[in-house]
Amino acid sequence: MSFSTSFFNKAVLLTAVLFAANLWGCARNKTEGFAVLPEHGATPQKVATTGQPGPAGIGDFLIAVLPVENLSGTNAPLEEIENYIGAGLVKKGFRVLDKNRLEQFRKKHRMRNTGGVNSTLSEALLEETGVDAVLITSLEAYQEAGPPLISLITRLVASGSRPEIIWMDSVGLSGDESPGFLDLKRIRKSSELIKKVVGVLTDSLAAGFVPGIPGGDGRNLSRPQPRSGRLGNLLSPGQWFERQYMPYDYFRSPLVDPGSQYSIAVIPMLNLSPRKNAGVIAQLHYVRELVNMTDFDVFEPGMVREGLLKIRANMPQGPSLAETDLITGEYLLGADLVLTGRVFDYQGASREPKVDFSMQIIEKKSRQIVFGARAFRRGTDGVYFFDLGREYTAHNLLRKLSRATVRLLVNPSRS
Amino acid sequence: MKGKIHGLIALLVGVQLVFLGGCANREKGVYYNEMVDFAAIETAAVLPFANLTNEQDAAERVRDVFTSMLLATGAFYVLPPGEVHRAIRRVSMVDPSAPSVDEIKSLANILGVDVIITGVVREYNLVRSGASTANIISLSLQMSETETGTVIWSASSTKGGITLTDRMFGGGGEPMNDITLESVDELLDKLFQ
Repeated sequence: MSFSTSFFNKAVLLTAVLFAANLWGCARNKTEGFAVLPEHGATPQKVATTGQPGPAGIGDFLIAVLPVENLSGTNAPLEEIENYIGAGLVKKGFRVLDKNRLEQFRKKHRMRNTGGVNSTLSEALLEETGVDAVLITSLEAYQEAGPPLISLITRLVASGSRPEIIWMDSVGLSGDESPGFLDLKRIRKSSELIKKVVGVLTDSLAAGFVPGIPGGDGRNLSRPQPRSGRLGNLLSPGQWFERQYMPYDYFRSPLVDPGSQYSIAVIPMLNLSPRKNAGVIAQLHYVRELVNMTDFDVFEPGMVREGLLKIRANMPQGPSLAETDLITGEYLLGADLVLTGRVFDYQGASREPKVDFSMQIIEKKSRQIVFGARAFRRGTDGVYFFDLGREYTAHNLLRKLSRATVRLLVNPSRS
Repeated sequence: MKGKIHGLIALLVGVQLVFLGGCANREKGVYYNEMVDFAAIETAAVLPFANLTNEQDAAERVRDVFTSMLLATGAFYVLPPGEVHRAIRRVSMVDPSAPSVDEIKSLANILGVDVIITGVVREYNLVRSGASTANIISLSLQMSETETGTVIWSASSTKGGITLTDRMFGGGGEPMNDITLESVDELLDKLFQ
């Protein structure tokens, strides 16, 4: 039987491939679907009936979902987003702490800031509610219509005396990003976009969750391995395209040893743009990239905030060396490095997003800047044909720019 | 006839001398103190620039670009802006963009720098001419030695503006960020020539 020359066999093969592709497409739709929206605090029994059980060990993992921190500077359906996140986690097989119980805890401890947890609150959460980790979500940008737009940054922080970030990811989407053939895939409703973004984030959390390896406080926690950015890895096509996001100039001191395991505190950047909270947004982007791309011990932003409040840091031009000494001091954070910066532009609401910032890293021992970079980019930079390579959200611009600078920090040979 | 030949030779020599004068390369608008060894400079502090434009944060933007690019050259170590700000507060400087000699010396005592750099942003805006528009930047910088407080280097740069192409074919000129980079790059070239 001559398989390669027969036209009939080729037609059968093509049909089979198309059939498999269709099946794969159906499977993908299924994972993104949000049919049921259960309340928070669903039990493992509920999980079994509402969604696919996650990987082994996920069902033992209790998560407290904090109310969404609004950094968008506009009114946004925060509770709706929070509910979707809770439902998404339950669907993935996680146990979620009852909302009322979390409210009681917050009232008891006067926990107003939902953008992070300090060591005291983290320890109290573990002791009083028994949660394994806290899910902290920040709404970076939100636009109801014309087109709808949403950007979320989420991180999972281990409870206990030393809150450690064990997973962090973010997604920024605009409704007109992938309009498809005849605009059939254009998303016109913000609620649809929220579902999609939350779906991507919960998928990422479930995929990055590695149960069974003892972590902080002896609980079943483990930090995912860095995805990239280490010496010896080859550039993937995606990373090759990301080269265009390299800063136009950067400084890297030989004092930085890529092999060392530094601890780093990322402080909120100085916001010189008209956009509210742009400094905190840039801070979170750097925290995410450092957590995912390096072996550095990155301090939970809630702890950094607590430290800065303790020393009553007033830094109108960024931290001075005296303030850096305090931040790196053993009695406060004891960090080896302090990342700071300035945001000059963060425009996400317009059709052409724009980001302009500079960042610096100051080292504890030498009291010197050991890394510095300045980055500027617009969404349409380098776009010549059919919106190919265009960025629709400031989130994605900032994400790629921060990733490029962190890559330069850990592996300058790739620049 | 002989006189004519002599006259021609004298004319040629004169023309040669004029051209030779051009070879004595000192760029226009650049001042160097010939007595200073620039290679001995190790640390610098960039003070806030004076802003003569209508753009509120123009000076701070240009200062940030200059600081980053100067640091990236690796020629000097540039102090973090927060540390410079702390020293300015301690010295109680009224106008940090134009420090007096005493203030420069006091700053040097606190910061331990070899030189300080001050600057003036003269233009940082959109210019119009008829239907054409373009961004323009104009800035000048000064470097002062902290031991004596004297100016050892000074240069200026202007970039952008409406070009002939802009007038003929329209277009909004180059983005402000790009011309800022070009301008700072030109100043650094003048410093390290």
